[in-house]
Amino acid sequence: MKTSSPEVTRCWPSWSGVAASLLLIAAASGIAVSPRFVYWDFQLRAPQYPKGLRLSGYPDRIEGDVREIDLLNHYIGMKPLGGAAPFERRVAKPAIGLVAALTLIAAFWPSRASIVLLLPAILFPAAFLIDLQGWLRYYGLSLDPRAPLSSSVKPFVPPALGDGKIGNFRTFGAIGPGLGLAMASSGAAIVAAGLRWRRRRRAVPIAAVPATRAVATVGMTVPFFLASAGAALGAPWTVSPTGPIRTIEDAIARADAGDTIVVDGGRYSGPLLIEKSVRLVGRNAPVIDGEGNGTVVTIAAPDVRLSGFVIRGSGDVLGREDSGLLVRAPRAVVEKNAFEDVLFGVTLQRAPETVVRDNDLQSKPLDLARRGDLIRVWYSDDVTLESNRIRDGRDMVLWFSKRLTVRANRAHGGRYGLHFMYCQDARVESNHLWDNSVGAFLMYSRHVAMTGNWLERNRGASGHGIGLKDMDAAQIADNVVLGNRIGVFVENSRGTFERNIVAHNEVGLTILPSARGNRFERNSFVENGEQVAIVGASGRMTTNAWQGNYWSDYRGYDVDGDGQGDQAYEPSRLFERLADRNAALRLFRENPSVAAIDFASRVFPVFKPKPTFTDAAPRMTPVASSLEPPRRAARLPWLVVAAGMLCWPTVVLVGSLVAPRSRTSSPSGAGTSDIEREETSRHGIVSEKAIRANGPRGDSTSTASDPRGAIAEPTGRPDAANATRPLSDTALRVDGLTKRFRRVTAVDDLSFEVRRGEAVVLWGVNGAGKTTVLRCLLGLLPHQGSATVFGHRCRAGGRAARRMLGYVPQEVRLHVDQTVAEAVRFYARLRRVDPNHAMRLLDEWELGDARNRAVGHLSGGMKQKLALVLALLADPPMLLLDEPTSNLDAHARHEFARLLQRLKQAGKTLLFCSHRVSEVRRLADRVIVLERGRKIAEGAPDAIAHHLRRPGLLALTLAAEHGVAATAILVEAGFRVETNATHLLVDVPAGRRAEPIRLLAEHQVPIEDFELDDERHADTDRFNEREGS
Amino acid sequence: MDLTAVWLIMIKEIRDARRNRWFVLFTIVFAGLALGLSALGLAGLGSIGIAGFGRTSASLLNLVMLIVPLIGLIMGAVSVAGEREQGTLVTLLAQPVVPEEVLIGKYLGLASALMGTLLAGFGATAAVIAGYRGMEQLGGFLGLAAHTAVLGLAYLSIGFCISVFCRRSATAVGLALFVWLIFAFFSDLGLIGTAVAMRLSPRDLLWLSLANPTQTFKIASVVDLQGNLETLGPGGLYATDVLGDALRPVLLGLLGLWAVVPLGLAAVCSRFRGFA
Repeated sequence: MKTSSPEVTRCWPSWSGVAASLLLIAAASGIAVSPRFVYWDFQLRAPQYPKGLRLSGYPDRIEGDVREIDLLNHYIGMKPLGGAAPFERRVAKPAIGLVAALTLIAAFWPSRASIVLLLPAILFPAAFLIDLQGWLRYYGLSLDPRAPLSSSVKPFVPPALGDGKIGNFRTFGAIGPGLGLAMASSGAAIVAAGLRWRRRRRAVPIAAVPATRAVATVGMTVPFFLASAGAALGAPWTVSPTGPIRTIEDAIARADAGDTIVVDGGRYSGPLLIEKSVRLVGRNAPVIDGEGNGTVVTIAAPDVRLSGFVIRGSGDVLGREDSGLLVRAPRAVVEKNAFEDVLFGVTLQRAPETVVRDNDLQSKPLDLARRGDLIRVWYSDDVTLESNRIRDGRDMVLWFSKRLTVRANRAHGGRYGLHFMYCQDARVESNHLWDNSVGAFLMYSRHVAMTGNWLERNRGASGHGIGLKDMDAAQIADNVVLGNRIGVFVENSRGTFERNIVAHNEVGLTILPSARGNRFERNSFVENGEQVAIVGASGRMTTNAWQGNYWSDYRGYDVDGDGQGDQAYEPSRLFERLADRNAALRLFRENPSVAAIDFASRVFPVFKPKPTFTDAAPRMTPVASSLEPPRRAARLPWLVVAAGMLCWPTVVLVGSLVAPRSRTSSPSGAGTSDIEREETSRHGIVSEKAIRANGPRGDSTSTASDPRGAIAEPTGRPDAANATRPLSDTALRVDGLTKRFRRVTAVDDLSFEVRRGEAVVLWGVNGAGKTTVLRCLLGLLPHQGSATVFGHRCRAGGRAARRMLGYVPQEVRLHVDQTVAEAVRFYARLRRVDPNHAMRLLDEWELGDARNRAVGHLSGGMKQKLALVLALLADPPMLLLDEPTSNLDAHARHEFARLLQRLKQAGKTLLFCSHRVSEVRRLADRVIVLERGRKIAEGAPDAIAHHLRRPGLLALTLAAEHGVAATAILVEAGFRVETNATHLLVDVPAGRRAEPIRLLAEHQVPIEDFELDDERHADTDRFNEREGS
Repeated sequence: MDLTAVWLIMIKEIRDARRNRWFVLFTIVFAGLALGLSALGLAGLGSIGIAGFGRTSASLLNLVMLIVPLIGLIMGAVSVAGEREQGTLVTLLAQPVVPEEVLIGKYLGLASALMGTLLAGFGATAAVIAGYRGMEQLGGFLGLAAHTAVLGLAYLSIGFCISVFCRRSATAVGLALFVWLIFAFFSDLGLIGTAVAMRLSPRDLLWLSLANPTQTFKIASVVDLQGNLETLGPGGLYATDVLGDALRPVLLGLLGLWAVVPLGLAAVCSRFRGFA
């Protein structure tokens, strides 16, 4: 049964419908392909840019002379082009894909409603142009008013299409092929929409349409679409280690010219020869390894594109120029490759219009002299080297080529960051060349413009930031030349140098007399070791023009405030002039003496050298750089270093401020526990209180059981042995002691002994040698003969002897700012005595209240008490006392003598010097009389009384400045006068006791105090002693 | 040698240094100048959009070459002679210590205090650089600081030697100033004059100049800061060629000798001539 249905909806379209579908398929393809082509072409033309500057706008990016135009825009305050339309560029490709997809859907949806899907395709070109013009308007109207030339250019709106004018630039905007294709697609979509709108309402059943028509429709549309898509996406050959094509050579052999070969990962052996114009695209960093043989990759066909590879392992024969890549054909594009372990990197030989962009290049690890050039251009015009990163190679060298562009490359660790030889019309822009032997050296070339480059720390043998030799018409502008050995070097060249910053170089500019006709304008020479060195010229150089440069060592002024110094700048450093003549003198650079020489030449014009050039109108302020430092150093390490360094001074300061305090803080010892007191007693510290409690002790050995207190002496040490060894009966033995000070014999063959527990006085006038003897015994003075204390030799290294001794000088000398507690604590530790124990000793000697007072604020009596405390810290069995009472007043002297007497009763051995008969009679068991260093008598005080008999002793206290005059007056009057630290000691016979006072009064010498000491006083002392006992 | 005694004397010396007007003065001067030089230098650089440790290091180098020898010499010269003059040395030597312990303890104490001074100056400089925006050449900065420390030790040692031979601190200070003038100015001026008059070869000039510890320090610092000695002309190139990799050790060794030999001489003298 034949069936037919009137409401059949699935119908084949009519021929107009087919045409509409085909148009829409073509439109979709056109839209999909269009982003591959330039949408908008924009040119700027000006006299200084005869070839013009060009921008190529794509939906997702802008290409062309963007950096150059940005540099120009900087001066008028226009924003960088890279910041324009960020959202639009990000979504452009997905959006265009969506528009193409909608159009394609509409092609297969034969309905009027499908027209809605075509609206994006129809409106897209217009939307692009409106958006473009909107951004141009925004950029032109929002200029930065702080820009250097903002006042000379008013806000403007450059036309997106057609002619325009900005300053002296003419602009030309035009639709590119990409946008043209999009517009054509838009037109096709409009026509298709019309056909759809007007189509016949009568539908043709599918069954009525010949099958051939359907086949024809599909057959026509699918290949067309696929072809379009294929053109858009390419139809790559894929090489991978696991795929059907496993070698690059195989893929090249199969491919046709213009094909794309995708190499997906893997490692492939070189050498590779590319003799077909193909695009080689590396994906997942495929490696081509030459394995150390010759050149790894050679391009011998034009229009080859090589990107995304790791090329490594070239040979290492310099003469053969073994390279990572050798290009021998025009128009190659080499980008985003990494060259490792290669002798030469990219070598272009007669490869014009080649682009080498965004590659990483690193040489083999060889000595500099054995490395090759990482980029080498040879007879290749119109080459662009851009955004390459080069390190540890030899040179980036360009030979015999024209119209080169070297832009935004970074090179370091090599010999010549950039080296031009015999090139013309080159542009060198925005490169960063640092830590090379030389930054950029331009030789034998013409019309090379270096702008906006950063050249830093190039300090090799020649060490130039920028070097020019035999150059013509060089234009060096807006560069930063920083910290090189020689910032700019000019020899036999001619050019202009403008707005460069030349700073911190050892020599800012070295110029040879052969360099003539150069103009140096508006440059900033900042803090160079030597600003300008003119080598080989003896007089003034007038062949170059200097105008409006900033000189950091300029010492002029600007009264009229026009920004220019009112005096000319004329360099005149004497040392540099000397060093120019004798280079060996550079050894003294940075020395203070060099500054002294230059200062002398300024102060004494006779030494001032004649200036070699003159800048008539120097700038007062430097020209600021618009370049950002290419690298920004980390701040954190410096902070860490600063904190670490400041830590030590802080520790020293705080540590000294917060000196450890004694744990027995009570000044009067109130905090001292009974246990501690008992411990004090157990340690046998000899004190008045202890003496009272225990009574006199005849045997010091039994009481001084552990003189070191709580800090124990390590066993096995000689001193530890001393502490436990029974002490001999002879405390001190002096045998043939002789001490000479050059020709003066202070002590002459002196021999004597002191028995344990004995008190012996050295008696004699000043100069008799008493103090010298004591100092020899302390090991302070080297001497002849021998002296032993309890069997230990007294010498400089005689630590053991000094452990047995306590020393009380005439007046104890400590740092006056030091407190009593600090002093006692220090010496206690030195003597291995517990500092707390020493503090208690202070209390017992009634110095507890003074422990926090500075030593300099103590009275004489308290100082001597402190000296006694220090001497007794470790409870030594013997004390040496050097006129301990001579600076004390009568009361203090008598009190001190009583303490000594009790120490003697406690068993201490005493050897002391004294002038006072009263003390001798009171304390001494034996007296040794010295005269000019020799012993002239020895015996008990009563037995040698005639030696002790002396006239009365008048002790005069005078201000220090009157001492010499008073001595002279008294000696002239026939008195015998001696001096010590604070007194004049005058022998006064009976009947003349008041005469010295009268004489000094007559001569108006003020006497602060006086005291008379004679036999009668000694008798009084003895009487007092008896009464007291 | 009793290291405990050395330690105690060293600690005491560090505490005394705080009370020492020379030490306080030098610390303030050095730290202030270092701070000022770096701050002013960096502020000046910032105005033109560049930064670099180059001139800051050169300024520091100049400052160090002038100030640090002076600090070391004066502090060293005052140390023993001053205590001897005040009589405090006798009090100390009357204890169970030997002169070498006193000498070394005092040297180490003063050296610690001197390091405090130097670190205050360098720390302030590092803080300024960090506050500015940081820089490269941190290694060079640390090298300069380390060399400065050795230079300070060398001149402290010379100061000690002077101090041991002088009985009065005024004499010692005068002699120290004279020695400073010799090493800072006169020796250079003499060598420059001799080189101009007699056309001394770079080799002779180099070896003669290395007898000056300040010059040795400068050359060692330049090596650290710049990586080579080409800035110092033919003499520097000759030193690099002759000494090669041994350049740094030789220079540091020379400085180290200056830090050890005068101190050793002082120790020997103190034992055989009497210290007090």
